[in-house]
Amino acid sequence: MVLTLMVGAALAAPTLPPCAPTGPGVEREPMVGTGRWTARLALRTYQLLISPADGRGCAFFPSCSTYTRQAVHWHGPLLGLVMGFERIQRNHAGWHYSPCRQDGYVLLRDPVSDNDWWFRRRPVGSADTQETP
Amino acid sequence: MTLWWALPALVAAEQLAPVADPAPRDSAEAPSAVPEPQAEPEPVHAPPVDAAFPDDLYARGWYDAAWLEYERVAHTLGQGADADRARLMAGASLWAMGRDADAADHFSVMGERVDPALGPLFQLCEAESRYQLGDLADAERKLEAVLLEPGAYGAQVTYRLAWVDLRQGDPDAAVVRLDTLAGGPLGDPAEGFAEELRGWEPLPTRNPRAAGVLSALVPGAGQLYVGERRDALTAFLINGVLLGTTAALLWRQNWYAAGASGLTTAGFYAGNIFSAVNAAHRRNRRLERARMAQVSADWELTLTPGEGLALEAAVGDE
Repeated sequence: MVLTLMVGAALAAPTLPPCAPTGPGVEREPMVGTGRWTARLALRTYQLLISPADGRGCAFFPSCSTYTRQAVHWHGPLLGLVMGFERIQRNHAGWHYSPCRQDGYVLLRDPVSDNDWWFRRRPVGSADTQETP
Repeated sequence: MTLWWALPALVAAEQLAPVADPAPRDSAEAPSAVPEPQAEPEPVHAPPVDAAFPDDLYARGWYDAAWLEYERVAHTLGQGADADRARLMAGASLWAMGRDADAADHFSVMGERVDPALGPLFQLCEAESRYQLGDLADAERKLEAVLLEPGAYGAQVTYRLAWVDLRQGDPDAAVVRLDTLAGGPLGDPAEGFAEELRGWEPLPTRNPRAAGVLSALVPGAGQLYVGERRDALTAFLINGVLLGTTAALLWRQNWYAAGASGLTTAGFYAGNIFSAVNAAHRRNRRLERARMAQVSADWELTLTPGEGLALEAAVGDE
């Protein structure tokens, strides 16, 4: 079963669209507030020190840590971290995610905008509205 | 210091400089008192305007080149039917490229420059761009304004307004609008569309608040209610294990570890509630989109530029 899935993913990977960058330019945006700064520091520490040794364990694009950073950026540390915990809990494949490829991995596209559209209004046509079709 | 290196440029400038006609020194030397009509000066660097050339580019599907050429034609001609048609087709090229925001801006600006009789047409095009962009409120406002103007676009505008109502979640208002089109140019598709909307069953949506409350009571219950069984199992196991760990640490009076575990548990517990609410919203949107896609394939209105200064309306995948 696992072998079949791996072969299928390897065959399908070249035909899948590449995972486009999602969300705002988090790196360029100034982080306002101690809570955001602390959360970002913790997440960057994880991304730089722990994640490379741990390997890629997230099936989604963007990865759970990047997703949490973006959620913290948009919604503050409290709701952002809650969204991060929520993402970890549903960290598995699902039929309603569109697949994409990045660095040889087949990932499932799940940007922040797919999960906060029902409580966060964005300007019409903004580049941040990258919802899964 | 010699300027010999500038000699070729000076010679070229001398050759290119226009030679002025020797003016008569007095009126007696003038050949005639009536001045001869002078020809219009040719534009210096503009190639001749061929209004059919961008049409050829458009027909080949080279929309970006067609757009630039239409803009050039409109700018060069300035006024007139050909210029206005070029303005219309430049916007249509932006539509074809999927640049609806740019198309909306284009039609908004160009609507002020064209013949006033074409104002409603350009307003309709702007409203169409905003509709395609998802800006339903602006699209509705523009369409209502077009409806007040006398013109030949009443049926298209009313049909599009019905779609705006539908996308805003009001199928009853859409049916009322479609019924007014009976016997008109879009009467047949409007009748079929209204008939389908009347037969709509309520979607099997889930209440996000109920999902959240259920997950707050029992982690995973809200996800189960929404239909996400794997999410429900994951949430139940993670929250159960974490709650048990925290309770055990508290029982053993290991306060620091219990505090760390408690914070993690609180995060996952809140995430579990958010997950249930989010899953309900996503499910509802998925169902809504699936139904809209089905209806859209049969009854969506497509406006395309026709011959001359007109829009052609087509319904469904014709």
